[in-house]
Amino acid sequence: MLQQTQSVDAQSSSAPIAGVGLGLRSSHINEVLSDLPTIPWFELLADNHMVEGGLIAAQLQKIAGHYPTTFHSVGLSLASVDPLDLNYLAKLKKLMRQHGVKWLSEHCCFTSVAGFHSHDLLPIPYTEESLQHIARRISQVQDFLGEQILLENVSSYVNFAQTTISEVDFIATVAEQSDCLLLIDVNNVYVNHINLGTDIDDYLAKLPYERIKEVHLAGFDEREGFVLDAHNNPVAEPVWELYKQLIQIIPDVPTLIEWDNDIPSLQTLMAEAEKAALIQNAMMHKVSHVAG
Amino acid sequence: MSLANVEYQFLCSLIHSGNNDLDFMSELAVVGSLSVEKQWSIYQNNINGAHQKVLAQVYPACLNILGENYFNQLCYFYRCKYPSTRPDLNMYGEYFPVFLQKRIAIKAELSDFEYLGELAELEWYWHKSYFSDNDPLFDFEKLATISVEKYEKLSFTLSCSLSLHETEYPLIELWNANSKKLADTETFLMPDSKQYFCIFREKFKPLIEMLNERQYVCLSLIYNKASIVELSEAGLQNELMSFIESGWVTGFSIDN
Repeated sequence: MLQQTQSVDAQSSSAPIAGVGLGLRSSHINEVLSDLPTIPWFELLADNHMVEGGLIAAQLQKIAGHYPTTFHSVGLSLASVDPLDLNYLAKLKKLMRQHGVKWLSEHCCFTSVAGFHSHDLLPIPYTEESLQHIARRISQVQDFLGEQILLENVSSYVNFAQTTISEVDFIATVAEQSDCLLLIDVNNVYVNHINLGTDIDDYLAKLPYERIKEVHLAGFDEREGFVLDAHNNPVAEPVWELYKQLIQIIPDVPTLIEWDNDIPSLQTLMAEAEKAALIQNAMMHKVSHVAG
Repeated sequence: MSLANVEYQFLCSLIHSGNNDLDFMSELAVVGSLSVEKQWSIYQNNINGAHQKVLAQVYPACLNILGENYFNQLCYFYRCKYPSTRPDLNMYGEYFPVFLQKRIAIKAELSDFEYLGELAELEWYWHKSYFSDNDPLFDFEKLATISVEKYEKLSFTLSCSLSLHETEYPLIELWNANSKKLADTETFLMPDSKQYFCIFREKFKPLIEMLNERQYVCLSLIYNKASIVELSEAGLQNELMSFIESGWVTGFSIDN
């Protein structure tokens, strides 16, 4: 039976975020609300739920009332040099309080500048200037929300000539300076390894594990000369291998399956989550065995 | 280049591809098999795809009429002319009807599609209605406390999901057929007179309802904050009552 190996009591919104959850997309919401499948937790794209009426608001209320829920946003534009969008932030805060959302994660990138929005996750050069800037912005966001946020490493397809800091050093230092937590997207680490030559061993060696509060898994798309972080496929084998390495060190950190394009059935997503849960449980068992 | 400049050049190069590409690309270095042009084009394709997808979802009838290739070209020109200024992607297509109207006026290939701006407007308000806030319940008790002397300043509020439309085209038929991709072989006759309709949301579902001229006039007056006295003088008190009952009028205010 799917999800059997996950020991978390999913059917209470007050339960902690633990085990392997799913990124819940609109195509599955009705099915989830009618069948209430045993899934430990859901992550919702906050930007898709920032409305105060109609079906979407009602769905959020029901989902967050039944399942432990987190928010993942794409519109905070943490690295942007524009002033923080306080209206957006206030809406986020209100929804989080209203629905008992456990935490908010955002990306280490910018999506808007000079008042224009790309609606895409655009990377920045990893320099001292960028580092100080984004650390300040995260502190501002955390002060506003009154809680720590999770910063996610992004996939990137550009190699900035002026970059002087490795990605892992950059996010580790930003996390330390702003005292934020981290969401490590294993697929993004792999995509950047293939596209930009990021050193995976170095990455895994330098991650500040004590700050990692969530792990993402997703599938990429093979294109001509690069791989695209398209979230449209099952998690690839090398990404599972990388996940095993990571989860060996932090076996009890919640994991999430993301799938945003060519979205398959809920059962397929649950099967991916089951696969991750088996790995997680095996690593937890191993750790407790060693400790015992 | 400062972070501010990098961000600005990057975003501008994506919104107005061709204008600033060289400035931004000089900030990039080849890596592996990815040339700087290739690196940049991955983002350009991502953004093109995302914006086209959103506009196709909001404007399915326009897409069906214009065909995918032409529609996608319009999406590109739309992004250049009206780059997104809000974090909410659902609002990205807000100016598409205006953009289409202007385009129809200057492009010969669109001369047979005069109605398209209005059709796009219908699609936009349908979409917007789905995302609109919930309305408060009409407070009859509070209304009963308003003294007659204040009636000249008493006006009403329409549901925030409601929009009013008038057209000389068979717009609803066109929309019904094209949003379901049925219109290839159908012919639509021009109506004998102007059509009036409104779009609103009933609980979760956007709906379209045809209006007669009196209903349209009444709703227009309410929208323009006509007082209850003015509505009565126009003989529209019955219409007002039915709109309150149907939930199209959701509140009132005393104009000071």
